[in-house]
Amino acid sequence: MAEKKPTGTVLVAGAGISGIKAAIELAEVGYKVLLTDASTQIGGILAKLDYQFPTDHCGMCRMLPMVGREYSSQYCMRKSLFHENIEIMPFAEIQAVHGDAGNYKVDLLKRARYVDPLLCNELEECIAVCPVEVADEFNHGLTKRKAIYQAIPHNTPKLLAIDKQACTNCGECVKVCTPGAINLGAQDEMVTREVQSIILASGVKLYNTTEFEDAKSYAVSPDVVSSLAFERMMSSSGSYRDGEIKRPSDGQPAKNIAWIQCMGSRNRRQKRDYCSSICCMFALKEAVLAKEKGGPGVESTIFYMDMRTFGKGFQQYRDDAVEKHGVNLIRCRVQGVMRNPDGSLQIRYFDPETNEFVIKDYDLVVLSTGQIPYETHKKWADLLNVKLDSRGLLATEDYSKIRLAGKPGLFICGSLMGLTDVSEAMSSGIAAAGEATKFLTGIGADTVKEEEIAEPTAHERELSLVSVAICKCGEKTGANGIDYELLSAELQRYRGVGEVNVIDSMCKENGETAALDILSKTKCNRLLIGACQPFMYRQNLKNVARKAGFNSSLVEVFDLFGIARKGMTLPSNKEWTLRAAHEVKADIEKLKFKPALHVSTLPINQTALVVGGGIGGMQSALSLAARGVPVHLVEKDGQLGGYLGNNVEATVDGLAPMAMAKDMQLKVYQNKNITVHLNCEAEGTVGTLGSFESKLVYKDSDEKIYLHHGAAIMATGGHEGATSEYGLGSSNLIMTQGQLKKGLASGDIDVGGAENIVMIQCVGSRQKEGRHYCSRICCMWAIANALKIKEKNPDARVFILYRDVMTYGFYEQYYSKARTAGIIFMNYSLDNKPQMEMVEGKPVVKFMDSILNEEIELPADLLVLSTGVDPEESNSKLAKAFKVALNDDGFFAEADSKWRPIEFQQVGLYLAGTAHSPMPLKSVIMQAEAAAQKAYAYLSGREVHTSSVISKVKDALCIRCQRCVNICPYGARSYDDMEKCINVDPAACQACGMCAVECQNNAAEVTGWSDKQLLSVIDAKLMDELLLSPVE
Amino acid sequence: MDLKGSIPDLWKAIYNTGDLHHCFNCSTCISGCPASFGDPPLLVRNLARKVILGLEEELLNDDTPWACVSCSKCEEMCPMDVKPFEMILSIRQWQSANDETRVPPSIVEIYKRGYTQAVGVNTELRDSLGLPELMTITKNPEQLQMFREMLMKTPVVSANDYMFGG
Repeated sequence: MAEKKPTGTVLVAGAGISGIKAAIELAEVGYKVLLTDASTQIGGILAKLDYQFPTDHCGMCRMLPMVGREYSSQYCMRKSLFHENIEIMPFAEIQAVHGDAGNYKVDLLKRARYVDPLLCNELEECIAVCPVEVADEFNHGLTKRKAIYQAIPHNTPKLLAIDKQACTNCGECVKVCTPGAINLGAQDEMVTREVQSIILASGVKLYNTTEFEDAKSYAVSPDVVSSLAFERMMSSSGSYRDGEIKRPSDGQPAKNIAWIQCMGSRNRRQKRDYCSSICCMFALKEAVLAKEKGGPGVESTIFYMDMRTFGKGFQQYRDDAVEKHGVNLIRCRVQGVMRNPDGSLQIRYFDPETNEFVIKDYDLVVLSTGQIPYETHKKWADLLNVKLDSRGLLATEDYSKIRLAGKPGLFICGSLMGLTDVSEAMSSGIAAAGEATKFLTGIGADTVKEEEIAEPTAHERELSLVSVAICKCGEKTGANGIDYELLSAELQRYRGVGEVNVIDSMCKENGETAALDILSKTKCNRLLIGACQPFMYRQNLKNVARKAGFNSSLVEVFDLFGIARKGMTLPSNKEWTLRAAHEVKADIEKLKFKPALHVSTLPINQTALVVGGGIGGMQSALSLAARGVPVHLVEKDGQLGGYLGNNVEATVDGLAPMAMAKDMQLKVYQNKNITVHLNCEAEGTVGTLGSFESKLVYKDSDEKIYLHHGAAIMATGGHEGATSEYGLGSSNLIMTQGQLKKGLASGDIDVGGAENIVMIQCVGSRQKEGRHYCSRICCMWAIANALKIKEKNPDARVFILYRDVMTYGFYEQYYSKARTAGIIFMNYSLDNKPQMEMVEGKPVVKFMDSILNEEIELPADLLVLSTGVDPEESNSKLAKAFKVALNDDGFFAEADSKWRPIEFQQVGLYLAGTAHSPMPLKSVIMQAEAAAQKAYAYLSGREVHTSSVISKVKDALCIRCQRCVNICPYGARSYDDMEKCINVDPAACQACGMCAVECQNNAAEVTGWSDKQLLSVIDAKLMDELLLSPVE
Repeated sequence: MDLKGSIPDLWKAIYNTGDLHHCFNCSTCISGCPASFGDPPLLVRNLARKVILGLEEELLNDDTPWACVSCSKCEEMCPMDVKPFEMILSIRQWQSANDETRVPPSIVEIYKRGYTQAVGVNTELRDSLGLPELMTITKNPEQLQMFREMLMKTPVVSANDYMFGG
């Protein structure tokens, strides 16, 4: 027998969304994770956001695993996170890291919170008696909190802490705390942990309104708030009341609201030559939401410089914000805010539409205060002995945003990589988990081996008989007034209850043994367990039940603790205990009528298919192959490399795609796990869930092969767009950026004698007719080409005509570099596009200069068009073959634009790179890495468990109206044209119940939530009310 | 406007610091500029664009740089550190050096009333607020005369004395 390998453990430092995502991905593969955070709780910035665009809802839970829900934690992510492989350690800071890759010893300082969450009974009496009131940081001072407090109000279980700086040590809280959970003398504690790999995910902070240098000119009143504070003003757990957004100064409704962009960023004077990336979308979303949530008459106005809507779906959101919601966008950076004597806020701006100055009053001004990128980098560099790059950020390896330079086993993700939005944070979290997985596999670390417990069969036709097991929870519940004897006796009387057992500490080992002992002897076939914090222990308790012979679909766990808490207000133990018994009755009714549900297990074929042999596809293939997964790489052209790898020598940030592609190609052909199919297209695919069969057709020979695979990654890439505008193709003086790039590299295009070179951005892009999206890379391409021209001919004047310069994040520095080099940027608007006419064989560009408000005529020696990025035409064929969705622009539609950017709705299918949307090379590589990880995690599970609770169709009642198909948010329902019936994909269905609500005929039903069950629950509850009047 | 006659290197003659090229036309300089209330308004942003484009003719004929009241707010708030106020002063110098016939309108103003800023306009408001009367040179005809004589000695005034009411 081989020696036992160590179980891989990864420290994820920072429990914002990217850290949580990395932790979940690792835990799902089976590694142990220690997830730490410096603050008192997890969630990072996103804990404060009730709404995210484009859905304008919360959606954090969408990052939870979608398959095998029976076996993983499913709980509101903004409240908490539970996973048996993840140990969460909030309020802890890394003090020192010893050792090297694969063998780190980490010293962690666990700060004292003075309240033991395991003892706390969550009654919050301590909060009620605490005499100290301070401003609540969570709500940016809009509300007050006590010195003993819960940092995030919606956290569950409650995680109280004492703010020792505010605390007066009066001891009132200690007096009222019956379980003795408060220890005012608690000390910080040092712990040392051994881990194999570390992922840094400490994120960024956003400026508040007083933290940046110009604050004095803008933050002139409490009614000038940061964008993050404004989120809290729209939240019911913040200051949102009576359907109105309240002005902080006087509580009056804010109707006229202005946003000012780029506060604390895009500022050379303050040495912040970067764009904070997220604020434009943040402001657009807030401006739309303000109109929806602020009651009638709300006006939203955004003052901006460039509206950076560069990501997928961003442009549509901007257009909707303006056209559908009436948000005003004004291109003017204002110099400051003035406070009027009546408290309102005055802004003077230059309106580019009318070319006039306007002075206007606002009730509330929101400053789009940017991200502070550098803050923690120095600290990490010192702690881990890592280099910083020229920008002062942690240096990563070439082409990687994730791997720290020269430090195997150390990775970063989220906003530590630069400045990221939710979608990129998700991709980076997955990619970091992928890199860590590869590293752990490389050093031979093992995954946690789960105990296999056979599922006992449920005998459907047996009469239901319920066994009730009540956990005493170390008498914690007893202290709260439960009379166990009375409770048992009362429950015993209900029809359908076979036995009632009181067992102590079922979550602990001895409690488990005791429970097993008692329960394995039972005659009952259903089990109801009453325990504390069931969301934490549900999985454990269900395992115990299974061992004792209960089918897990016939086991329910209820929150005894919650009921115990309610009891506190009742005068006597007896009265309360009887009430508790009635509460439990509803649970008994639900369980009694529950049908036995089945989880089916299907094997997963261990082969992966990667469609697209560009840089993204090759990266995914190599990453999977490195972990021993056989990969088939299908490329429709005669060579690997894709558009970038075959056409682009250098990018603006100094990367060399062609050289890189060559190198990767070599590795692909050398890898025995990868089979390359050139001139080949995937055409039809049958099967789902772990077992696909795809038809591959070779274009040159028409030969067909059939390939079995368990997962597939779409990495089809894109190419430079085409246009019929501006006479492209009619003169050799008019060309695309791609043609210019090639021509400059090869020397075929000579700019030596050129006087004026004109570039037009967004040709056919960001408009409803044509590419209704920003191609994200064209601004950088134009800048790279323009700089190259300046290098070859410093006397040439280069004009770049743009709508919004999309140099987001640190790309801003290239925009600055271009201006410094004398490249002239001139703005035009969509409704007044530049015109071109040929005069004496030369293109002359005429356009309206928005600054001088004059028409300018530019005779051009070269006219260069940024024609954007088009998706591959083959996408539509592939989408049909794999039954996945495309968006309106022809790119693949991911499952969720923010929280699941790498996956399709359909299980086992993933996407990466430009197949998703146009993106820069490093992002392509990161997504490819993330897609490989998702596919690997799926394949390494070896089998797929369908969920037992899913929706079903009662065919006899169904009229085939297909309303359920249209409403299903997971695409799990489809209409079968051949069989004329509605089908439910059991793996895609998430049992949300939308179909059951939509169906007019009761033909859609969610198993385990039948009408009969629910009606009996309601009956039991109503009966309670009748019976509860004076109990004798 | 045709850029054919524009001079690419004009910025070197006017404001050769390199700071100007950082300008990204954000409008910060104009949105709170006191001289932007004038007619025609001083639009610093537009001047920067004219210098960069090399519009010599237009710049020579532009009187607005002389409307600047030297408050320096644009300088303080410009996110790109273009130092717009210094650019304004540079444009004034360049205009004077390159156009012998240029008589800045503000000099005529100064000659006529003895000061540049409109300090005399709010006398009633000052009165109602109980503020003391501002002492201006107009209230002392003798000194105003001396001041005018001094000005007349400068070449730009004496060469164009017809503009100064003799």
